[in-house]
Amino acid sequence: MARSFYPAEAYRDSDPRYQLLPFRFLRLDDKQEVLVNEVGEFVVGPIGTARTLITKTLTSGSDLYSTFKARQFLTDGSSSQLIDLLATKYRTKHSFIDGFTKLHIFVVTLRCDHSCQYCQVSRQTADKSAFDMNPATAAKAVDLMMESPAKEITLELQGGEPLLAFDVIRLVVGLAEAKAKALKKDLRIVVTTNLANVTNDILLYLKEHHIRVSTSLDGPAAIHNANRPRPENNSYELTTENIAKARRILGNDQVAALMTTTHVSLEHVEDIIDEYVRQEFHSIFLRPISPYGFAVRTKRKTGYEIDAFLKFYKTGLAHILNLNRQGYDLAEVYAKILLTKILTPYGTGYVDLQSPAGAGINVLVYNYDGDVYATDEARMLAEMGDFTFRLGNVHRNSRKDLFTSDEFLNLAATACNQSLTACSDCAFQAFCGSDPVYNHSTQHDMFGHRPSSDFCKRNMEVIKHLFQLITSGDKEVMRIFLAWIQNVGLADINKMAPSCV
Amino acid sequence: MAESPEGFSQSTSEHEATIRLDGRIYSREAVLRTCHAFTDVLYVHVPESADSNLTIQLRLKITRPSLEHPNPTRIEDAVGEFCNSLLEFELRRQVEQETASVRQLLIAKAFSESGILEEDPPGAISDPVGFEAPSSVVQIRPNSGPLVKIAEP
Repeated sequence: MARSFYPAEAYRDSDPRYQLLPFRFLRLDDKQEVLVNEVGEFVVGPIGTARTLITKTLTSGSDLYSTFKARQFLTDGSSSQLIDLLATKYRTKHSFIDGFTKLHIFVVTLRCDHSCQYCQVSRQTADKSAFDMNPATAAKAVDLMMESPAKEITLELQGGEPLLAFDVIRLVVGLAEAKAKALKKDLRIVVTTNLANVTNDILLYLKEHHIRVSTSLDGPAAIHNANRPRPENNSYELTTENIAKARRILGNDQVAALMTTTHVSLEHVEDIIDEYVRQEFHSIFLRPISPYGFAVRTKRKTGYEIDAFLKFYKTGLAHILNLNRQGYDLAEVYAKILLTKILTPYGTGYVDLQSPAGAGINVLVYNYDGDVYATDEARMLAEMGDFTFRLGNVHRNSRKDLFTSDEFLNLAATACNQSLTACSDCAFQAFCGSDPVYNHSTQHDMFGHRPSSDFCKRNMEVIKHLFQLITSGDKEVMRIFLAWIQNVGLADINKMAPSCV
Repeated sequence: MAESPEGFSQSTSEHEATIRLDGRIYSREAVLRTCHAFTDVLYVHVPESADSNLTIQLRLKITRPSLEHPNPTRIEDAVGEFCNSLLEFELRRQVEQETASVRQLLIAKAFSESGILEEDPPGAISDPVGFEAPSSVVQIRPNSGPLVKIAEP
């Protein structure tokens, strides 16, 4: 249908001196505000800067005028190239959508040897048939995964503890490799494992098939073992021993670790970070606990307020920056994701902070029983009896069925923060994302209520904090940030000419 | 408390406040967006008004300190912040109004290479909706025609 508009005179500028281009602004603190244009470029200035720009009281030719013009907050010409340039930048920022679903998570078993308080899904049982993915389901799931238009497919093998179902892993990997080769797709495989049951034979298999390892390390022994109980209370010892073994066979860069913050962790962020240094990791992801599954049921044991997490995060980030200053390269992954969005023209592939939301669009989860979910968190909700985000089943539904299901269409309606109340006005829109599954889980509403949302508060506070660090004038901090987003060491950044940093 | 701007008056009791605004200065849209931003600490009511003025009734959600909320917001502080935010939301509305067509064009152009659109969207910064080069995608109608509008003039 053709769109209709008012006549041309309705759109004429009231002030012909300059025309505004789309941007949003936000107070950073009592003194500064940040202005961010539609493609994520920013200007930080004293409170009142936005008002001066909007009311068209900027002096033509002033430094501020030139800055706003150069960063495309205003235009005083009629160049058609300008809109093309902005469109190119917008497309670059959203290039993560290209190819649609790239991350495919296979839950090969729910069985696990741990009984972590915050775990959403694991089962302690010897009954393989009840909770392992069977061969027919595996084959159907691989077929669906490979129907994705993405040229690059990431297959994440997850559980429970996936190594307990190593026969299923071998089957899925074999099918996926053959199909990827036939379809000329690039296939990357990651196994998310606690490593407790890893053997040399398994590691040699992972090496042969270029499978990377992502494991869990919650901190030093006392914290790790408190968070991740095993019958023998030796999770930390097994994990660290097997990280070393995995590195020997696979190589250091093929083994990564993730931590989850519980209330036990809150007062020990520096100890946790120091443990990562002791284990010679060069990145750490200070992650809050997910509000799903058993983490909700056991909130009294694991939960905490978002303010407590933000204090934990900021203290941790300061400690990490100090370690970098002292010569140890260590990146904080969440800050790195946000800084990439803030300081570069690019988006990231991080599915939990995207708009449109990653759910379904960038990630699909194939459960052991063949059910397909929009995200891993959606699967965790299902384990609590909430099937809102179950898109279908590999045995009954086609790819078209999954993406035309009511469940997916409801998600899609809430997937863009550009059209969510409060997000639509937010200066951090380009850096943040929409998470309908989180909103549904915590506020019983996929659209969510931003003023009382922990998701919103966490991201607002962390992004503001990063802007304060960026504008603090501390050149060493900026060099550390640039090292993170370029995936190089601080020494490499310091070798560059000063003008480059 | 923020300095009271023109077209503004308020009355405040211990836990409630009523603000009256000149509707010629503040848009209803900016008022409603501001109200939404405060719905974590305030109950907000915007009753229908017989004239062009806007009335906003605010009531604190939490009035007494508790272990969970040891320092509840005071109504004076809430009203002050509300008024500051109102000015910001009014400015945001102005930006949105002035840039809506350019924003729509740049997003359409950004995704036109994705193959979703059958043809490139027309328009340049000086002519964002293609007045000078009408096409089958965009059609201009006079004000009196069927009202299918994307922005208020």
